[in-house]
Order: sequence, then C-alpha cells, then structure tokens
Amino acid sequence: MSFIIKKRVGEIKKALEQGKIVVIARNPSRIKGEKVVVIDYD
Amino acid sequence: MPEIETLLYPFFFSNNAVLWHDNLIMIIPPGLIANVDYVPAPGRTAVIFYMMPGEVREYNPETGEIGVEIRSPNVYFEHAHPDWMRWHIDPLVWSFLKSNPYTFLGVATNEKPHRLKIVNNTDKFVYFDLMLWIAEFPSDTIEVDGEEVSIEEALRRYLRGIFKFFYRLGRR
Repeated sequence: MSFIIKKRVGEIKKALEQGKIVVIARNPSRIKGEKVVVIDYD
Repeated sequence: MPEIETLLYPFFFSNNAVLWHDNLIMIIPPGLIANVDYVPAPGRTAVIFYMMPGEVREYNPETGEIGVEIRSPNVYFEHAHPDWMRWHIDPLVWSFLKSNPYTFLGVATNEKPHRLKIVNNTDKFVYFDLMLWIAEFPSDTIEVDGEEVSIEEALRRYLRGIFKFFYRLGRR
C-alpha cells in the first residue's frame, strides 16, 4: 500500500474533520473553493 | 487519427504559450459536496485540453494510507466550463475512468474557471487524482494583424479558420 505525504497526514486529517475536501497541488493559488483546503506537495 | 494537440500546437506556440500539467490529488470525506474551481494565474489565460482521471481508492485519515480501489457511482464529480462544456456528471466508474485521456477543450481565465463539483456519497474517505493538461499564455490577449483580441476569441477564430478551410474543400 502507498501513503500520502507522511508529514502532512495530521494537517489533512484536521481539514477532513472540518468537512473540507483536501486538494494536494503544486500551484495552490489556482484552486478555489469554500470547502477546499489546498496544500502543496512539499 | 490526429490528437487534438496536433491542431492546437500551432496556436499555442506561435503565441508564446507554455505547456504543462497540474495533478490534483483529492482526499474527499464521506458525505461531502464541494465546489472546486480551477483558474490560471492572475492576468493569464489557460487553455485546458486534456483531463486524465487517475485512481479512486479508500483513504485512511489516521495513517495517510491509500487503500483498496473503489468503483462506485456514489463517488462522482460534475463539471462544466463556461461557453465550452455544459454541466454533466462523471461517476468514478470504469466507463469514465477508461476514457483516458479525456479529450476536452476550454479556455480558462480568472473570470471563467473550470468548475468542478465533487461529491462523495459513500461512508468512506476517498482518494482521487486528476490531471489537467494546460497551455498557459503570458497574458489575456494577443495581437493579431494589429488587432488586440482575447485568447478565447483568437482560438475561436483559429478553429473557425480550420472549419472554413475544410468546408470549402468539401464544396468543390
């Protein structure tokens, strides 16, 4: 099995608990949305 | 059979566009309905010309583990692009996922984003990745024969020119 970016697991979990979709993208400024949390790959 | 980029590359590269792709890795909680807009950088115009759906899998929010594959009409996205694509549903089932690459053409600006509505009607956290192929222009307009026109209008004229060329051939 593979894993999402390990160091971001806590951050992703927190956003999911708030009912947000998490989008991992290189260019966060290009993704918009009220229920969206965008995080970079790094 | 020519791919769509064969027709589009002359338009892209003669107008200083650069090609790239953006991979959106989405983690979708159960019961979610969310609107996601994709826009180019401010002051730029992007032509999106392919979408490539990737994997749909369970996600474990405790560990970050990406698990078993999911094929379900209960996970889907709807999307549209103003003036280019009407709203329609893409359930994350094989008939959609095998339509890969998913040929598409739309001109995105900050005022006209590509619009996605992501829906997860399962009781699981879902991992889904989607790649967009993009030609991005350094500004919103280009100059053609002394006339400043939007990228969108220039592309429409370019496509109209291709149509007229072949239409006239067909009339002979």
